[in-house]
Amino acid sequence: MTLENYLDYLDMDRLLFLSRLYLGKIEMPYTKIRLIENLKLFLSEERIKKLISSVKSDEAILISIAHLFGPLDEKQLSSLAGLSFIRTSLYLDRLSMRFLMFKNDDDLWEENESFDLSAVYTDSFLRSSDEDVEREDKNLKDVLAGMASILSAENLRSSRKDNLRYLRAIGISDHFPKLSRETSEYIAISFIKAGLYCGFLSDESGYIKPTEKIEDLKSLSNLFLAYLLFSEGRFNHSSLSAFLAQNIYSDKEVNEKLRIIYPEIDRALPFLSLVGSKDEDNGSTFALSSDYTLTSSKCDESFTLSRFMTVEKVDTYTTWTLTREGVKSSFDSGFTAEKIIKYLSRFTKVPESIQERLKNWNESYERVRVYDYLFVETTERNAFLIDSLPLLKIHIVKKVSPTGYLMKRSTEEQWRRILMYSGLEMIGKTEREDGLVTISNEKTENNRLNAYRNATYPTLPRRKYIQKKEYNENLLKSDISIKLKTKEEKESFTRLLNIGCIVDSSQIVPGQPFYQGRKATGFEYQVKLHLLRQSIKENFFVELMFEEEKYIAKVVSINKVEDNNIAILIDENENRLEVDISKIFLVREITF
Amino acid sequence: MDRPLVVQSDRTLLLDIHSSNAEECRADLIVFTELIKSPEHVHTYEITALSLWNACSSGYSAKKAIETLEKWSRFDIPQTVLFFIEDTASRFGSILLDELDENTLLLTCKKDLYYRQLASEKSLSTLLTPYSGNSFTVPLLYRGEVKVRLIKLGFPVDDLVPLKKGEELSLDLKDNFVAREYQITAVNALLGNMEKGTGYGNIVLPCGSGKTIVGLIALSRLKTNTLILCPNVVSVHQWIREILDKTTLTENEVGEYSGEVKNIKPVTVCTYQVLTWRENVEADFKHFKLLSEYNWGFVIYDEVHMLPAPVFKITSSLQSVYRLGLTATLVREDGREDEVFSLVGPKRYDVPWSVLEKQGFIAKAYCHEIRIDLPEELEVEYALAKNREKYRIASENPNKIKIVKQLVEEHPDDRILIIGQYIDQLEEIRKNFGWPIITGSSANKKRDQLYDDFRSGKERILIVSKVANFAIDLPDASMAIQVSGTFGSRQEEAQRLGRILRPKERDSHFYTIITKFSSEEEFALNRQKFLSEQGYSYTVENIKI
Repeated sequence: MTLENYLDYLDMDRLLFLSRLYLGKIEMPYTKIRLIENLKLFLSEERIKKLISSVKSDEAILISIAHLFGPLDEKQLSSLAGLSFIRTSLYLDRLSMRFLMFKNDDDLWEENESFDLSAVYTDSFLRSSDEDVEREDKNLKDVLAGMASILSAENLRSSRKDNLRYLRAIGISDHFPKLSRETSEYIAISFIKAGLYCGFLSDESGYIKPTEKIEDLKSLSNLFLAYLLFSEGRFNHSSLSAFLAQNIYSDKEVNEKLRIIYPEIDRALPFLSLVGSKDEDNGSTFALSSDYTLTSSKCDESFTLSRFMTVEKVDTYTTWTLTREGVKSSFDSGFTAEKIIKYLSRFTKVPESIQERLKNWNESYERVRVYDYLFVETTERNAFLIDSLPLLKIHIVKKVSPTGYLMKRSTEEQWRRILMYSGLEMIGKTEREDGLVTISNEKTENNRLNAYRNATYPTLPRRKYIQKKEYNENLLKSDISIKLKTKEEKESFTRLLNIGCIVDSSQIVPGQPFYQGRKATGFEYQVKLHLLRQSIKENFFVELMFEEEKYIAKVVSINKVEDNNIAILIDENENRLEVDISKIFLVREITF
Repeated sequence: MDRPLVVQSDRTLLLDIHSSNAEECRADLIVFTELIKSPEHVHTYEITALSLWNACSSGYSAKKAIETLEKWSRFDIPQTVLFFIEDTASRFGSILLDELDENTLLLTCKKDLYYRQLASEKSLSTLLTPYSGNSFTVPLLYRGEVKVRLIKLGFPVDDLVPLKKGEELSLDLKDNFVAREYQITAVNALLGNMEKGTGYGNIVLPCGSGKTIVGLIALSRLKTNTLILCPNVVSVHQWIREILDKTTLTENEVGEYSGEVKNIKPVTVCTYQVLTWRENVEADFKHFKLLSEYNWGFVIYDEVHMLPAPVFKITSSLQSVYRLGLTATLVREDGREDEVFSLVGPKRYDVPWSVLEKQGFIAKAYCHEIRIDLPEELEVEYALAKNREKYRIASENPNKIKIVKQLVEEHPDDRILIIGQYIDQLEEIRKNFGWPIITGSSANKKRDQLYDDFRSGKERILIVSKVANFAIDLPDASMAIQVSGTFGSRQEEAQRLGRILRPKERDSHFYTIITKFSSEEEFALNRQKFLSEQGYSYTVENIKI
């Protein structure tokens, strides 16, 4: 099968998805032909071709890449034997690429960051022998299987502590085969990115364990530090400073590498300039006395000391003073009393009285904390929606009232998108105290509609695997019953299928593959459901977003107006409403 | 060799006291430097003009000072320091003051350059009259004044005019005490060989180390009519008590000259205040004649760093008398250390507090800061109050009383003084526990009785107000709990603490209780710094009530 054939067989959903995935965008207006053209152009590049040609399954496997480290079933994932794409994805991540990650079963992805495909393939990958690939693939396959099972949606919690407990309970390392240090480290990083605080012990076996101890992370390499820098959602400057302050890395190379990545590191990470060591001269080099003065002979520590101490005199020895004002300034930039004490303890005994004083100042400092969040206010109905969106949870700092939320400023774009996808399209601009508008969320009508369409256009549910031989036209068009988890689901689904209704894919729970040992021998066939809005009939109860509110109504009649299908709806208050059928995204139930 | 000293370019010296040679180095340094502070790791000294001249007055040379620095310095000595030492020290002994005749002194300049400088100095024109060579004559009357003016110009005067002996007084020390070695050494340093250039100067000893004894030893050696000047009536009474207790002098030979009592005896103890009293700004200091009309042979200036400015004038007229300045620090609030040098004399002896503590002459003293929360019901009141009121609310934190009780129970064998600024608070403590209280309004009789009871052990705990501290002779205690207020200036604070923490068989403790997150914290921090500089051990403790 050629690439073109291959792409030809895909339906619109799939093409749209792949376009977003690989090209990062969809050019408007789009047609199937254009999508195929663009994809072909991209995938025809020599290096891409090599990769594609090694694919043993259909496009579902391509899609699986994005599912990696997402909530995949372990057994399902392990069936993807010998897939080079898996390794590719690992390289994607290894190169600090951003990736898509699922948090739950919804088809609304939480896109952490954009997908930059320009560095998808590494030289090392391309240079590898087939044997190496095979061997590594096997290992990686096992690794991924382990990770997938751990990172499945039902296991992930919003609280780090819950996740930590979960990791401890399952005995995390049991899920993995013997790992190289590099792989173990990589896994640890991925877990951390996934919100599972995981430590990595630097022994030969590359043992991974769940931990919250900073010490366990100390053995991670430069890579980890680089990830920390980029993981802005998890570490801001002050917390990163604080983290590094606890783990003063004396590795010059680390410092140098980080400086290349992050030129402003000296400002954000004060300890990285530190290459301190105890003076071997006679007598003490650093002496901190109870009168709050520090006498030091070396200037190496000056940069760090100046963060929380005031220089009194620079002479043969330098004299510093600890003042309340100086220490307070350091608190502003992320220091804590513990960090200062720990730092100073490297060089000199810190008198108890000074330790207590620092802690008292810290306590005083923390009595009132100021944060830079966004306050979002909405209606009760929308609040209900917001509360029920799991994807939003990590963006909500605190619910301060029945209709008011404190939301993270740093991820504003993401949660706005989520809200928009959830039907809250017309989200207001961020209003500043001085009346100026700082963020514009306006889109053109076309963009809005397309965004909506794309958001609601059901893509393939996850965990769908279709064997190649089943991939034919009939399959694309016909409705086939699937095996669902519960009897009720099955009945409901069958009923819907029979009447050709629109369904929300979140209602579908995919079936399980058949296994012999660890090897999958077959899959349940699953239905690819199309958005058949034309199938809405009278007396259907449908759900849609109307004036920023979720609206449930019964279809009274459907009329064709020019090229559009217009439905007349009646709600519980017997209000009549005319809507474009394309706005209907959910069928709730059917009554006859 | 372990070199414990760091010489800095601003002439400060850092002494690493953990070095094996620290003690030996310190002994070498103290001759020509000033001790600035002595916390637990690094002591700071400073080479000043005065400190060098003080050393030179006892025969110390610039060369010796430089050799000392080179011997102990860890690094190269900055050139500026070397130059300063040589240049400054060379000035001492370049200007000599000697007797010409009964009423005239001769001021001789060893260097031509200095002579020309002095001759051209307008401020000296009324005091100096050119004589032959590089000399001037100076009326005897202006002996003190010319020395002060010259030192202000950077010329220390080597006063070789013999001291005259006053009227003889027969006295000896009793054998009911044993003078400590450092006290005898101090007196030897003061009196020297009793030749020209000796018999006057200052002795610097920490609080509680027995400066009074030093004065008595000197008095017993000189055996002459003596005038003792003190900062307050408290000190006057203390001196009189000590004199009668430790010397063979009788009550008839020792007199008090103060605001209330005016007895002039062979040994008279008076206050600075009475000397500087006058009816109005225009009037004369009518008590000055106490100094000038009597044939004193020896003048002791107790707490010489507190010598009031007007007294300098009179002091300058007592230049022919043996004189001793006693103090814990030569640093003055008004910066007139050079006048003390000129009019009383150079520093003859000093020793750091920590040294005496090591030798066991001063009890180990522990300072504690206890921090407690303000009760919730007072938080709003505190937040809304003005600054001064805030301080009062914090100071009168009712939770402090619980801490007082706890501390008293934890120290069942200590004699405890509870000190505060706010009478209501002290009264509250008294009501809670029944301990006796002394305030400024307490009758003298009652006060004296309570002090006697405290000394004898009949009363173990005594509550005293801050005002009472200064007005009344504070008895020795092994523990003090300060519930509010400060002693005053830093010098006063050190002085008070020194009296509370006198040498005894047990270690001494000073507790200060402050309210967290309140305006009391500023005082607490300054106190901690100061006490740490003095070498006191300091701990901070948070207690939840």
